[in-house]
Amino acid sequence: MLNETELIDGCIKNNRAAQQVLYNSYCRKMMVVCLRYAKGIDEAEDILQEGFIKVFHAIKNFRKEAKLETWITRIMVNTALNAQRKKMYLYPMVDVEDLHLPEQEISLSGIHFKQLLELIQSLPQGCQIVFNLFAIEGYSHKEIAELLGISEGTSKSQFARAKSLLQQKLLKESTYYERYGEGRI
Amino acid sequence: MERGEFNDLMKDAFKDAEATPSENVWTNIELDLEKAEGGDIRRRLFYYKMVAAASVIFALIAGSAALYVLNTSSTVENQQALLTESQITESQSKNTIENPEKISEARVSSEGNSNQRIEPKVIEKSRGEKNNNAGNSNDVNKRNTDFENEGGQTHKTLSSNSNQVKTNSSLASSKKNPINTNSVEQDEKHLTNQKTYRNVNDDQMIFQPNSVKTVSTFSSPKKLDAINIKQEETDVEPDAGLLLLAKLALREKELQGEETKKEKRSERLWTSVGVAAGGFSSVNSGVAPTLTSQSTASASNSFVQNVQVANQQAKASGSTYSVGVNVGTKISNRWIIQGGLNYLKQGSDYTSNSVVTSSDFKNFSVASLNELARNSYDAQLVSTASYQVNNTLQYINVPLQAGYIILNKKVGIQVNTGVSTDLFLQNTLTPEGGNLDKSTQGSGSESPYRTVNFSGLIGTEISYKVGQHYRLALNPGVRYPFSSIYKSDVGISASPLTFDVGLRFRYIFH
Repeated sequence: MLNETELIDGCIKNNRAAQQVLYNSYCRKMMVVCLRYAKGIDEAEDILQEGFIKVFHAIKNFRKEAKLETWITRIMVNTALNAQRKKMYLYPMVDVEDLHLPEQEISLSGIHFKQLLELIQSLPQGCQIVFNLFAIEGYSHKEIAELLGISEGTSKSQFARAKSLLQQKLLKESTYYERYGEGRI
Repeated sequence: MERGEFNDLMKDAFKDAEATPSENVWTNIELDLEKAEGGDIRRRLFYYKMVAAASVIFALIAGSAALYVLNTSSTVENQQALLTESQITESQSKNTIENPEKISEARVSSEGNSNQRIEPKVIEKSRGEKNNNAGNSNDVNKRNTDFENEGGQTHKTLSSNSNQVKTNSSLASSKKNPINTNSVEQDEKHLTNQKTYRNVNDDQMIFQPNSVKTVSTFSSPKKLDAINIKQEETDVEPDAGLLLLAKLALREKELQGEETKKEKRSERLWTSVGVAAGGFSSVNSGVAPTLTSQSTASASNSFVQNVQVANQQAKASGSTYSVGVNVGTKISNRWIIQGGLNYLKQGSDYTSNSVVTSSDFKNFSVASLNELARNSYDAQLVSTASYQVNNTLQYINVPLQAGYIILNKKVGIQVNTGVSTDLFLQNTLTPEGGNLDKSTQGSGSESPYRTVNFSGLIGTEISYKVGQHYRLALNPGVRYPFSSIYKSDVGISASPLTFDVGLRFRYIFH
């Protein structure tokens, strides 16, 4: 079994076997990342494919200062953002009104990540991206604003809207479970 | 719920989340990577093409410049040779000619009496004098000639002041007016009984060493016939100036002949040793359509897999090295012919994801075209993780080329083209890792490669003469097989296009 350094060296030399091992090691985790930014499986797979091609082309620049997984995730996110930017050109992100939903405790413990994915995918385009970047990747609103070329206020309002929508949907889901149990899943 | 807590909940929800993508993703990635590698090779090929094109352009420019310089220098050499010759002739002649530049002026002779010895003597040109022919101010030369009566009967001297003889230098003018000056007219009565005057075309007769155009008129003896000589009276002795010109023309011809012989004699036979390195691409190769259609229709899974392996092996590109000896000879001034014997090695890598097994599953070998040829596409294949296989082909080449010498000086430039007979020796498959054994297959019925093939060769040779007998040459060139390197029954076609740059050390026998 190759260790990470050997794997990276093999990929740098364009060794197909090493590239395949690297892909097999990270493709499942990265698929989830892509699914969070996409609207469906096909779109996610396109992002995954493009992302891994970038990984193999750019791996010679990997400095080994960060974890390989973190580096690959960053490439996937950037690839996803590039794909979404094209859509954002058609549907520019603007400040949105807060839905003013009542603050309510929501537990995610009983919810499978696939359900959560579906909920995130159902968010409007701009909300989905900002939500992913802010809540899961850990970017600040300032960084998001720079990344997407929007104002910080827009990023904040988009996140607030995303959060409200998710809370609303999660509330519906939890009510549904309470009423009908988890057999639906 | 606090915002931070919500974010943490989200992060945790996706922390160990995994989703399996479809297998197509990796296939597409692999294809893309293959395409990118192909692109690299294409870029490399493009680079080699550019090098070859630049060599040819450089060769053409340098050749043109060299030809221009060569022509100019040979003309100047001829001029100098003519001058030297004229000086020798002058010294041997009874006629005293003070300045070789004025040799042509000695052509004016006047004789009419066998008893008279005439010594043409150039005194001085005096352009612009009052008796200059106004219509031919540039062409007309005045000549003063002393005529001496050898017999001592009547000694008459035509001096510049009193008896000035002038030739009418205009060829166009057919007027027979040999004596134009008043002073000559004074003595005309005395001269007409004894002398012959000629109208001579000065354009042809005036010898101007610095004028290539004028010298070139001397190069052909036929031009001498064009000299318009009109005798008014019977010639007794041949014109000394004309004799001189005829001799000069003959001498020039001799010199040219010697020069040509010298060129032909130089570097007539040579031998060279050399090495070459480069790359080859098999982008035009592929599995025959009949096989691919079989693979999709009715063939077994192992068949399909084997076709994939074959395709990968056939399309693999790589590097090439060769060493060899050559012998060349000059068949004309510019054309050469050369042949030799080379050892050629071509190496390429391809990815395989299967191995061939024996029926008892004890022996495994690399999945390759060799196995296909041996087992006729029914080889038992077992899928494995992808591994790299290095395929090395070895050939003996017998090239025969014709070359055209563009420049043959200290720096030589030559364009070569020809054919090469390629004799396949063996191919060696070296799997990566060491789990499988290396296998070597020689030529013959079990080999998928043609034993004899023919390739077209084209290239340039830029050489530098490092000694009387040695030249160092750089040879960028292209090699392209006329037919597939694989046997036709294998169902794979590949004609790898090879670009290489050779370094040759040439020993010139004579």
